[in-house]
Amino acid sequence: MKPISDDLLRVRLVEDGLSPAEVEAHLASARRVAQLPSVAPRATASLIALAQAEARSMIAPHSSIWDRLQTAHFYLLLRAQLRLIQQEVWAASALVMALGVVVTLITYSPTQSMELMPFALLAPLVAAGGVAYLYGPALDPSLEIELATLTSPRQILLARLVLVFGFNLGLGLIGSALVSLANLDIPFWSLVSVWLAPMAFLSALAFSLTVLAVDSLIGITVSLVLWGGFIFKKLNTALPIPDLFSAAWLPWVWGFALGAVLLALWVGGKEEHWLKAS
Amino acid sequence: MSASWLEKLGFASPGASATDEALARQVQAGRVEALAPLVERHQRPLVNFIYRMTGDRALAEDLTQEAFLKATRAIHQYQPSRPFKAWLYAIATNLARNYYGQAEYRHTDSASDHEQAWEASPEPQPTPEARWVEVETTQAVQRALLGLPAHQRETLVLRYHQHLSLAEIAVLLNIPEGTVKSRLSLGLKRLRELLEQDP
Repeated sequence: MKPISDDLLRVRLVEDGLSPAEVEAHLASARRVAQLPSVAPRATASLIALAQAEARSMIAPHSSIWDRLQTAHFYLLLRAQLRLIQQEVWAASALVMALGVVVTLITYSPTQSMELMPFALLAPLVAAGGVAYLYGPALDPSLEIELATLTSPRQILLARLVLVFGFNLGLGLIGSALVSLANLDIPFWSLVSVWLAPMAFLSALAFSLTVLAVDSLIGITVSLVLWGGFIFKKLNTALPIPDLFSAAWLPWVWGFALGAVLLALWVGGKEEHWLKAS
Repeated sequence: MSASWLEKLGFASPGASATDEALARQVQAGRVEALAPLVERHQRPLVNFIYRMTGDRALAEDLTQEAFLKATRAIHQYQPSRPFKAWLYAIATNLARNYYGQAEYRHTDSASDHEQAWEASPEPQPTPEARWVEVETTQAVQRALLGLPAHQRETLVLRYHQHLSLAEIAVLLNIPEGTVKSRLSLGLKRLRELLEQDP
């Protein structure tokens, strides 16, 4: 302990509520306590090692949500599948989305309908194209290994869908933010609401058709034709087909998307279906 | 760019610049290396506190170790808005109190403590007579301290040997500051009587 002067000790005793007479009477006793020698601990390094070992054993049950997430089964599955998805999917999606942002900004006019903006037209198609390439013999050279693991084919499919759709959703949000920042006449949420439901619908459709028909081309083609019809309907309102993405139809669109994904996961998760696909 | 900023981002080891509370938060977040500066800061004061409370050097080392391990196990119960030092001392005080209830105190080996202090000191070595006087004095003070009721002894040691503020002691012992003052006043009076009986 640091040596303490009598003056400082007096100040402390006054602070402790002692009268001047009591201060003088007890100064010597307080000084003798203050002057007791300080001993040095003998094993600092080993105590640090012990405490750290104890702390490490505590981390697992009391870890933060992020720590637990990092060791969660689905997170590990996502990381594993990330390496298996064709790398071209990421680059192609990012490139087309970036192109959509640039063309939207260049061709913008205040009279233009937001639904017909290039970015709003491209975003759903890019996502649908990406998810159509999640399933099929050409995409699964390691099929035997996957079937031999404890992870079910359904979980693998779901992980891939989450990764690719999530990536395209992120790109869509970033692209919309860039468009809105560059042109304040285009509100962010309005732009997002224009492409979000079509993106979910077309992606679910492309995914389910690819899985059911075991052919990526069918998924992409049907999605493309349907999306083309929608654009044509917007350009020519007299066409006798329903406007699927109007407010009245939206609950049905989301319901269909969910149903299509569940059906694809159920069918595509069957081992025999994977074997047929191979 | 301060070291603490780097430490928060995980680019630097937790070190001297971080407060106890910041280090405890890091331990809560799973950065076990933040325990090292906490142990380095508080081990010595805790050993001395418990030593003066029990008069037993080996026991003080053991109880300090136990206090740190207990604090590590309970680190998720610690609220960083409150002073870490008071929380740690409260754990150590409870451990020491359990000991009071279990056994008679063993008495101090102050002579060896003095040897250690003298060897480490850059000051000229005292003469054998001076050493003897100092050892006797220390032993007398330690005996007097051990003659005090435990609640008075812990308050006196925390205040005059550990140099804690009244507010810190109040938080640590979970008592009002007024009670701390009255314990100090009564403790000093009793200590003086004991020292006069055993000069």
